[in-house]
Amino acid sequence: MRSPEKVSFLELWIVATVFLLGLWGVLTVASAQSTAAEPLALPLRQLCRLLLALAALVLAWRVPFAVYRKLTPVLAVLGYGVLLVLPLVGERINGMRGWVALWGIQIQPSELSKPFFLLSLIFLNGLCRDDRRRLLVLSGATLIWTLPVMVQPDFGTTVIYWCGFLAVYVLTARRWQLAALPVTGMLLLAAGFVWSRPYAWRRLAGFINPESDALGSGWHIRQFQLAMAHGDWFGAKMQQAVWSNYYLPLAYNDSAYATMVETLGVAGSLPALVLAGLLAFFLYRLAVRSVHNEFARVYIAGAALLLLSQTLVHLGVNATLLPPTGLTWPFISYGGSSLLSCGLLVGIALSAGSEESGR
Amino acid sequence: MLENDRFRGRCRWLLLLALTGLLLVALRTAYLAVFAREKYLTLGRELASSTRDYYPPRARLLDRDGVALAWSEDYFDLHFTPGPETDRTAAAQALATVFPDSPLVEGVVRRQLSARETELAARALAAFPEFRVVLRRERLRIDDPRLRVLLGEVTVDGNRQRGISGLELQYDERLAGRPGRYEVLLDRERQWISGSWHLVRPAEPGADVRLPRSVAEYQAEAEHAQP
Repeated sequence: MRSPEKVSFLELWIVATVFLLGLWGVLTVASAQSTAAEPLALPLRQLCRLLLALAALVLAWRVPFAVYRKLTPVLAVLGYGVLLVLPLVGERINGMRGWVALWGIQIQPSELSKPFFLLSLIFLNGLCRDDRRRLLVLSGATLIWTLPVMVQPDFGTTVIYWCGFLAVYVLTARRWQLAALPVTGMLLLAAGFVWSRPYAWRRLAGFINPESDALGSGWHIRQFQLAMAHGDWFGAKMQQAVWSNYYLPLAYNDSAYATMVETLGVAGSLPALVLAGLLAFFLYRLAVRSVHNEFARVYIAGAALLLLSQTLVHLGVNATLLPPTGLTWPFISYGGSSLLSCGLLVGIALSAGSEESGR
Repeated sequence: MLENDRFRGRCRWLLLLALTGLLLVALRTAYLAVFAREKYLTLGRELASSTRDYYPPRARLLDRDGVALAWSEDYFDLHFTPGPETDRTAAAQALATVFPDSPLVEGVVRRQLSARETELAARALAAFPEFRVVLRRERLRIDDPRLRVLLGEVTVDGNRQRGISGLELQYDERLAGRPGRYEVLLDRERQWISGSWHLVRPAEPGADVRLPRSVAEYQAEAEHAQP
């Protein structure tokens, strides 16, 4: 393990931003539970998990990045192996066989595998000399990684994994336009899926016109809109956050942003958006600082884009700009696996940045 | 490996794209939460709020001397209406903690709860929306079959009583008073949200009707009228 040395302001800002985002998340969970029988149970649990995630971030940061590079094949096999056995041993929660219980703790492997997926993509990218081969190898690897995730089914996480592929390819290929090919393929696949499944079609119809079936497929969209409308500039008081407490499904998780707007209003939710943007910016600065090591800089930028894309999908769904899909908001939504995974992503990115700067 | 400038440029573009997305979300939030707020609040009220009338207790029919001939009494009964997802074992256990001598049956579980029993039931059975305390309003009358036709009949619909014959019909409007109105928010299971009840208009209780003759005179009149 690397010995302690001077830490730059940029790295401190990154950790501080992560911590602030996490605190905003604890507040959001608290507001979604304000009328529960034990209103402090989940927020306290989230706070503990945040501290654990920060500890994991710091620990991951202290490990030299060269170790991650060396261990990438092993980490990839471990990360993918758990995904493969999930359809057989996983627990079904909310219609998705995506959890595994270990010593009474629910773990979501598709979340925890994200840092290792990113490492494996960059490792494979290093073996490719031309853009066509790079496209084939990376999209093939992403398809292999996402197949067990699609089987769960968890389409939200599948989208994020594909965003990871796009990030790595665009940041390393000369002809980034070639990425349009697998993306078009995935879009056609998604369109075919929606066409063949009535429930997916109804969800899409409910998104396009919630009025047509306000109590059915348009219900979820309508609740997001009503929760946000209740927020106004400065939010409803905690005990009066009616929609978050009584209507929004998974208010502290997949609907975290709508909950935040209802309780804290536009004024209280804008800082969280700014923090998310700042985190991306600070990671961008760290990436462009890492000029000599492609593995390091692509990892840092890829981690930033993974976090950002998941944030944007979550926000887009809650703001009814995208059809409903279950995705958490990194560092904000309730969930130990998500917090830990994001902590590891940022920790490994900081390690990559430290290595490059020779510290 | 991409040249540094190219890498930097691509990162910059991707970051700009993402920040544009964040800005779009911020604008959409402002639209939903501020500018189009009223439209969605109205929709929300239609979905979640329930405006209902409530009726005051029906006033009394009194004779000339103030003896009550007909009057209303309110009782509170505990009802159990299970759904397909109801955990009957857990519900029975919860019921037994409050009323160990009342078996769990569908419909009326226990009649005429006292105020204390109502409070205990509300606390112990709060986790089971299948249990409800329901108001039962009964119209009672003096125990004399000779006066039944004179007094008339009353229909009971929930907590609303309406005279349909005899004196009950003749003085129906005066006895019934004017219903009040309340508004309450309902959750997704259409249960009341605690603390959301508020009064829109208070009820006006009915006025007792004092008849011109005494009970004995009415009884004698009824005897004479019998074939």
